[in-house]
Amino acid sequence: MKQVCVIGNSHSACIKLAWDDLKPKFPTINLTFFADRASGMKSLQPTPDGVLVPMSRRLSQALMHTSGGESVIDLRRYDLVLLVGLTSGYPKFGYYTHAAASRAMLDHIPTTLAFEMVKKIRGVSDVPIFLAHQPLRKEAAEGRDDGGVPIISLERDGLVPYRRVIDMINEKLFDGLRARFLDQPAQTITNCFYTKSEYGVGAVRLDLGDRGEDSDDDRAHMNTRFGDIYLSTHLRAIAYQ
Amino acid sequence: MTTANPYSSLPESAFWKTAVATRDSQDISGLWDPKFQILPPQKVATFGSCFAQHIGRALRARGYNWFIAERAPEGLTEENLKLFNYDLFSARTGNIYTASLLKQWVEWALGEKSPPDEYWVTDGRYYDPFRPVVEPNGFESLEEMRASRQGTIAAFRRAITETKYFVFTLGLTESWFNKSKGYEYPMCPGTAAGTFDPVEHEFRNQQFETIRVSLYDALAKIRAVNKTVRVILTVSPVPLTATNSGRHVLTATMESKSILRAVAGQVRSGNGWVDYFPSYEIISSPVFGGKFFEANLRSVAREGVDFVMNSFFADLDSKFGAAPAEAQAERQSFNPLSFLRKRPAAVRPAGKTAEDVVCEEQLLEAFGKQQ
Repeated sequence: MKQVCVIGNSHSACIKLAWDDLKPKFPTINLTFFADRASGMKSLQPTPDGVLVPMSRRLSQALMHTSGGESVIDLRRYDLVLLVGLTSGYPKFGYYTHAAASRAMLDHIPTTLAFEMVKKIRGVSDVPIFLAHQPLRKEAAEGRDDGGVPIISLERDGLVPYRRVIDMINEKLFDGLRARFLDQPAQTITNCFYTKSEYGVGAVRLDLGDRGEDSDDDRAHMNTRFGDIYLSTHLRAIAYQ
Repeated sequence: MTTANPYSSLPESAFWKTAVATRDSQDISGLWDPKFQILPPQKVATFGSCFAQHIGRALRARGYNWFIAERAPEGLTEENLKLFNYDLFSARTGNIYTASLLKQWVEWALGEKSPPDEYWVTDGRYYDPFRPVVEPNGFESLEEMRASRQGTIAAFRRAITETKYFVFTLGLTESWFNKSKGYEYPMCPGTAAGTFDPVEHEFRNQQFETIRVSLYDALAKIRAVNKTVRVILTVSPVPLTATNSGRHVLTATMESKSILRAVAGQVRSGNGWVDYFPSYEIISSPVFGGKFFEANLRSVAREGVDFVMNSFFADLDSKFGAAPAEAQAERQSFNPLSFLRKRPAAVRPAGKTAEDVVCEEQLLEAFGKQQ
């Protein structure tokens, strides 16, 4: 049985709900979820023997709630780690030149919790690490621009610019850390850099039982179908790389 | 013996002795009598020559709503924002030095004309003749160049149609046109990019009436699609980097700035919705002894920029009163660009001058004779 440790924020909710339905299709893989809202995972601290320990009572409770009873993350028990939603994967507001988008991501990602988590884990463990970036922003209503960045349909394969940025992120930031930045499945993407609106219908977030709210806007979170496609696209490949 | 006359009841500000000669230059105030009150939440779009960049920054620094119609990709550091020419103006147009160039952008934005097909290629990289330095190292493809320009035109349209205040800084009278097709370049081809063609590329040193008509046409077109817009004109105090007029650069500068100042004054006087802010006079007046310039007597020092912008806001407050308490609070809490402030802190060398604006015109210096 391949043991997968999923560490994430509210964006892991759609993955978790999808997994509940997908389990029978992956009898040799088991996922354990550890989630907290926004940047809650920031207070995880690694021990030299490979355990991530929450430094706050609130995070400890969140870990126990989302994992079904685990108050720490013992990396030695897992075959791989999947970090979900702790960074964006492409600039939020639409079309940019490749140089500008790449530069922005190279500037931004090293400041994110995702990058911090990779470095923390890599400091105490050789476990393979994969990163699922926040979903691309849900497409705007037809004919509207997106907060100042007009939606532009490129004439050629619209996914090329997005995938080039993902490749560049891996090459410049994660190859050296032996981590892999995953791309969002093609069938969920429209207009080059947006998630199809159908995946935002009934979007889910974390329910930690404390009535808290995430701060992301309502075009950031996706539904269970999105999580289903994401896992179906990537899970087997990363578990049996 | 004097009798009552029109001068006898004028305020101190009307007399050189009381307004200037007997004052410390730093205490000279009231140089602008603003027509409009700008409230912190109202959108203010800024375009024009390089000096215009200071206005946007000053607005943002004081909590006003500098309207960024073309957003930078989130995450860029301050240094890379400037490198990619974001957040210099309200859209990524690069410097718009002339009134005719402003009119050209307005016509593209409103769909009255289409941008020309012309593009330049150097070492496999593509350059936009109308924004020749906006993308460092050029665009990687013609498709990318056109998509980027399309985005900027759409953002420029959004800026002129949605803004409450449109601030435009006039910079130059000297300009370069495509002779056969009639369109204007922001810079002489062959300087920042492209190749100069003496047959196709034509120099025009625009005179008063040409500039007045272009400026009025551009502003009238904006007003036609934005009925409540208010315009504030300024003239850049930055002297010419180089002149192609055949005259000495000093006299060419004075002629150019004088014409632009006169045009701005005339357009202001004839239109209640247009105002003029005297940044040119503040920096250039002999009253200040040239102290607002750097050692090259061209670049404006940070002290000068601060004095100009402090005057701008002080005169607004003097005319309309300081923003009410709730507006002050709103000014402090209103953060239209909060997403930008998540960036890593800028690494700005201590003591850097105000010349860290992006001034394409300075490229002319690189192509001039080596001294």
